[in-house]
Amino acid sequence: MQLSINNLGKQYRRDFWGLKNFSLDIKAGILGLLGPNGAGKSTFMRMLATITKPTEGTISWNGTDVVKSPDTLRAILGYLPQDFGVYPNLNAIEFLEYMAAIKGLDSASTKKRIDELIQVVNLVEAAKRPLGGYSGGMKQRVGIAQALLNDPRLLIVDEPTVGLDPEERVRFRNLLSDLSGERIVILSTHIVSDVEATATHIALVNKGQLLRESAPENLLKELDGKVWEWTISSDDLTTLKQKHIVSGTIRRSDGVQVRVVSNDQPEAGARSVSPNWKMPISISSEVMRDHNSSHLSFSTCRFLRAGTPL
Amino acid sequence: MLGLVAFLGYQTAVGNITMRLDQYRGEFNSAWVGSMMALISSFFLGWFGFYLVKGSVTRDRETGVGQIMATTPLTRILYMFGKFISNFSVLVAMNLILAITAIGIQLIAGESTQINILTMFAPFLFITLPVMALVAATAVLFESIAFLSGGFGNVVYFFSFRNLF
Repeated sequence: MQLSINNLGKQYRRDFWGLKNFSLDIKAGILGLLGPNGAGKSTFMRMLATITKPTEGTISWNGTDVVKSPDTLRAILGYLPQDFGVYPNLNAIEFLEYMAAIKGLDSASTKKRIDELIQVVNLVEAAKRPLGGYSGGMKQRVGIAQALLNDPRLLIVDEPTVGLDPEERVRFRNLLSDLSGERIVILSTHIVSDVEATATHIALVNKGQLLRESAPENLLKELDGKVWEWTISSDDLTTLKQKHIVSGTIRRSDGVQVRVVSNDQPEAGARSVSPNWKMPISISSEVMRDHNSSHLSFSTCRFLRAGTPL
Repeated sequence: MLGLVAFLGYQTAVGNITMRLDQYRGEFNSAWVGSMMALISSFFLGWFGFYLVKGSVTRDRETGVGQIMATTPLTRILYMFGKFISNFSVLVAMNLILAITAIGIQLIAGESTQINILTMFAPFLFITLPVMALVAATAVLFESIAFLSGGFGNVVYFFSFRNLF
């Protein structure tokens, strides 16, 4: 089971590419696509899901060209778009039956599958209520259920935690973890905590380009000895942000505890600490080395900081 | 939808909507009542039924359900055909109610007590259903053409239908 993306590009206007030179080999597991809004994640996922065609490059599933033969992938694909909507007058079971018919599933086994999925996404009690009265999280669970109707080998979920409360986000992440195994799950998000616990691989995306792809622990390992922490006064924070990449701050009674990514000790009182995803200094050393000269890499640091709750 | 059907049924039953040939009208037997109801429903449901069934493709686009459909093996032709069948079924259901109402109208009028189902429903079969099929298909066609999918398309249909009939 392998999804290969080679030199993929999508041009929207003459002078604007939503995605460019994007190459990636994806195997079974959860791939977290991490990038700020407008990075090109949805563009990438829409091409993978065969909704739009790439301007250049190829997508192949186990060696078959998906752009030329989209039905090859569609038969084993589950997709949850970012702006997932429902028919408000149908209940969850009716909606899933409708989607199963659209997917061409065998009607005899559909009922059993829907019953299973309703339990998996914890909607048993609400299953016969019209979807119009569901909360955002409940609709999202219906969305993941419809994506799983055909037991897909490739599951694509685009910003699935947007609009979910913290409890629902945790439940959703656990659900994705349970679903992984002998399938490829591609999850896009701009929130680091969505992928830190679940993803087996993380791809950093910004401005339509793939910056880095690696296992989360490798990304952290590359930062060993490059994360610094100390406490400064609140007044010095603005100046520090101009001089260094500040990955996290915590207000304290004696000032502000800051975390900074730097190859060298940034200040005399700074002590080296272990990088982690909670206070994310989650940038590869390669990206970090480049950060003074490369605007792209610097942006990556910025979005990772901005995307993580502190 | 049911309101429109109930309105048409009631207005015909009380004689506010009827069919005349010059100053003559036919005897209220099965053939005449069936023909009258078939023509009335063809005209009104043909005209306003378009607005009742139009919108399903737009709804798929706006809700995002259409995006999911685009990732399934469902072909575009099959999708459009499904929308046509869906529109057609709604219009046929409304006509079915009117057709049954026709029996009541004949009995209330009391000019002929003999109900002949075949002659009463034949005009629905040969006049109304083809018109409904045309309306159902036109609604899908309008929704699949960008500049006709919105308010402009509604205006175009309104005046086109009025001029045609």
